[in-house]
This record gives sequence, C-alpha cells and structure tokens, in this order.
Amino acid sequence: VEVALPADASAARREFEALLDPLFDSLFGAALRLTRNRAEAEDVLQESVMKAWRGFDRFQRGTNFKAWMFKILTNTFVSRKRSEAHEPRATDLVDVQDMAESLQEEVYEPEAWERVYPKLVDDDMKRALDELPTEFRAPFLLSTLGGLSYKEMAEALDVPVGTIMSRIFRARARLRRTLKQYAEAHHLGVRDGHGHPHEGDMSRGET
Amino acid sequence: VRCPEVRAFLHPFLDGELDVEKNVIVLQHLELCGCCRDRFEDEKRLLVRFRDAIHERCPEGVRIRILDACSHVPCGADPLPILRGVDAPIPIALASAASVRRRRAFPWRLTASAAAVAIVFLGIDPLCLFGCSTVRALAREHRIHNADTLPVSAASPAELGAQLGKLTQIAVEVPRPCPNCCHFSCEGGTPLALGEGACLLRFRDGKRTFSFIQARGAQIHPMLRGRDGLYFARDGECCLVGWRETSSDELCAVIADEASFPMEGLVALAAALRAEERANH
Repeated sequence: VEVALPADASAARREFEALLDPLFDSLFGAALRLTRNRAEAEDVLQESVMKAWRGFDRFQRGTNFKAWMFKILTNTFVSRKRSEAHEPRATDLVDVQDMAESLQEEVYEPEAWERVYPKLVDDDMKRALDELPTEFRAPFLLSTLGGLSYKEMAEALDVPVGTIMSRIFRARARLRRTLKQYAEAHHLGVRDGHGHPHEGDMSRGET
Repeated sequence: VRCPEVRAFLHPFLDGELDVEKNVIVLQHLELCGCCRDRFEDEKRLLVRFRDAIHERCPEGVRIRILDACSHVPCGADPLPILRGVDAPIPIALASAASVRRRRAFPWRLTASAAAVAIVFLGIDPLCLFGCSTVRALAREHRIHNADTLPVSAASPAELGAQLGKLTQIAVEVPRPCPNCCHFSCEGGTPLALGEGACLLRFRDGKRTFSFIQARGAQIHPMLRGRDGLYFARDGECCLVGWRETSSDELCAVIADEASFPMEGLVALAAALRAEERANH
C-alpha cells in the first residue's frame, strides 16, 4: 500500500529536513506576507516544500538552498495567482519605467528614523507591506527575508535584473512614504511641511 | 564623487550587489560624508525593523503536516499531471466543429447521448472542467485500486495509518477541488473532489465503503449533513465523524483538518470508530 521509497531516500530525506528546518519560519513569514492570508500561506508553503522535495535530487549540492527554496515559494505563489486570475501574465507598467522615474518616488526626511519608525508598531509595518502591489512586495520579501541576490530574484520572478533593482528601490520608497502617512495619521510627531511639530507629537508613547 | 552619484548606488550597496570598485567608492564617500552615512544607516535600520516586524513562527502543526506529506512522496518524483478540462471540451468541441463545418444546428441530442454514455459507462463527468482527469491521474499515480482498500475492522493500526497517510497525501495533491464531482465516482476507490478546500476520498472493497473527507475549518461538508452522523472526537480544529450511509455495510469517516491531524490520534479514533460500530451491531 505504501509508496516505495528508493534505498537512499532516508539519507536524502534527512539532508532535506536538515536544510529546510531553519528556513521554515522565514518561508512561512514570506508566504504569509505574499498571500496576506494564513490558510493560503500554509497551502503555498506546503506546495512549495513538496515541489522542493520532489526536485531535491536535482538540487545542486553546495549552492544556496535558501535561495532555491524562496524561488520555489515565489514561483508557487505567482503561478497560483495567475491561475486564479485566469490570465497569463499581468502587464507590468513597472517594466517600462526607468530608474529616473522611480527616484522621484523617494521620500526622505533627515532624522525620520528617530522620530517615526521606532514609534510604529509591528502591525503598521505589516500593513504597509501588505499595501504594496505584488510586483513590489515579492522582491522586497525575497530580498529582506530570503536574502536573494538581484540575479536570483530576477530568475525567480522572470524579470530583468534592472527591473528588480527598480522594484526594490521603489518598494522601499513606497514603504517609507506609507509609514510616514501612518505616523501622521497616528499623530506620532511627524512635522508638517513647514517643519513644525505635529499637534499630537507627544500623544503616543512607545509601543 | 558627489552625493547624488553615491546615492544612486546606495540600495545596491546595502544589498551587497556592487562590484569591488564601486563598493570602495561608496565606502570612501560614507567615511567622509555624514549626510550620506546617516541616510545609509537609516535605510539599514528600516530594513532591520521590517525584518523584525514581519518575522513569523511557522506553527508546529503546519511544519509536521508538511514534512509528513513529503514522506509519502518519493524524492525525484515528477509532479503529478494536472489535466483540466480534458473530459468536457473534447466531445463538445468536436460536435460543434462538425456542426459548423456542415452548417447545421448544434447536435444537442448527439451531445446529450455522448454525455450519458460517458457518465454511465465510462465514469466520466463531461461537464467537469476541473477535477475528473486529475483525480484519475492521481489514482493511477498512487495505484489506488479496490484491492488496496483496507476494511477498518481488519486493518492493524499501522496499516490503517499508512493508508490514511496516503489518503491525506492525495487530498493534498488534488490541486483544485471540483464542485461538479460531488458523489461522483470516477473509478472504484478514487479520490473525489468536493468543494473549495475539501476533498473526499472513497475506498470500496465490495462490502464496505470508506469515505474520508479532508476539509478546512473543521466543518462537515453541507452535503453530508442530515445523515446518520455519529460524532466521535474533536481535537482543536480537527474532528472525526463516523456514520452509516444507506446500508449497514457501508461505513464512512470524516476527517476535518485545519492544521494537522496526528496519525496516532487518527488511528486511535479509527479504533474508537470500529469499537462503536461493533457495539452497535
């Protein structure tokens, strides 16, 4: 009744589990932020791990297992999204925009970190990330949680390296802008356009 | 090097993507320019803050379930074929193509007859656009036949555990449950799709029918409600329900599983099911 496993399967299995075990949390975190849904994240994670296990004999020993797993996770997520949407591939305006335009999105204020970010709670950070479009969220997560190189991300997402650079940059700029908006909404002390402290500057302490 | 030039490289520098030469240029500039250095540190702290904020711990149940699912699949196995829409469109497309070529009305009678033949004799649901081909392929892949079924009353816990493990695996593999396949058996002893997030697996051995349902959210599928249900156990998000169908020779068990269901517990519950069955007899 049982599926017959090859003789060296137990050794391969042990190796696979040893490599996978430290990555479970970060893979789950990435799946959760990609899907924005816990049940779907579990499905994506399970599908990815099973794909990886099936293809483990083709995994080149000595190469980056983490990057390999994150690629599989991303591919799984992307293919699920495409099949759900019944569309081959979304037309991506980002691909045709250059870095110069993306630079215009940047919002940078000196000393922003000291005034804003420490006061934002984890949920604010998650919410800001969830609001990012998938094409920005995916490379950001692959970079931040998976530690993938631009080249690895380009392969995983099937886009040029330049596009990855642009998306990473724009994702961070957007996140910064969103966090600033949250901070303003929370009256966390973001100064207005004239450099004056906001009304509710001291109304909320550390969380 | 001026600040704007360095800032263009700041993110690739942060991500360790610059070549040695540019890396040195940026490092030298950061040594000299406090403004750019603050900005770089700010970017770095933002990323660390995000990394900390979005860190999640994978639930132990999910981890166990996933590794358990892997244990039923050999390493190096090719992905299971996902065949969609093979059953339905082909006869209908052929019929409509023929009607167009001959400039005749669509042969509804012929189509209906072909559908009836497919349903009754071939065990194919011609309107199924999702799962029939897939579940048949899965059945072939896992070599599930009538001879493989294990009567609950005759199975040892280990055998039952192995069987249930395989069932669980198939439930995982069914990629897109088919809403049209309810109560529809493609073959004797095949997994049947139920609905979104749920999968029915049925085994027959001539005398008995075993049906297992793996469903999300610990809910018994509505189509199974109203029958002679016998609630056995509930453990967190999981439950096992046994009941009889149309005759006393048929026995069903429902496993509703949100996170994972420990195999030992499942076997114990199956034993309880068996004891209950004997007591009723």
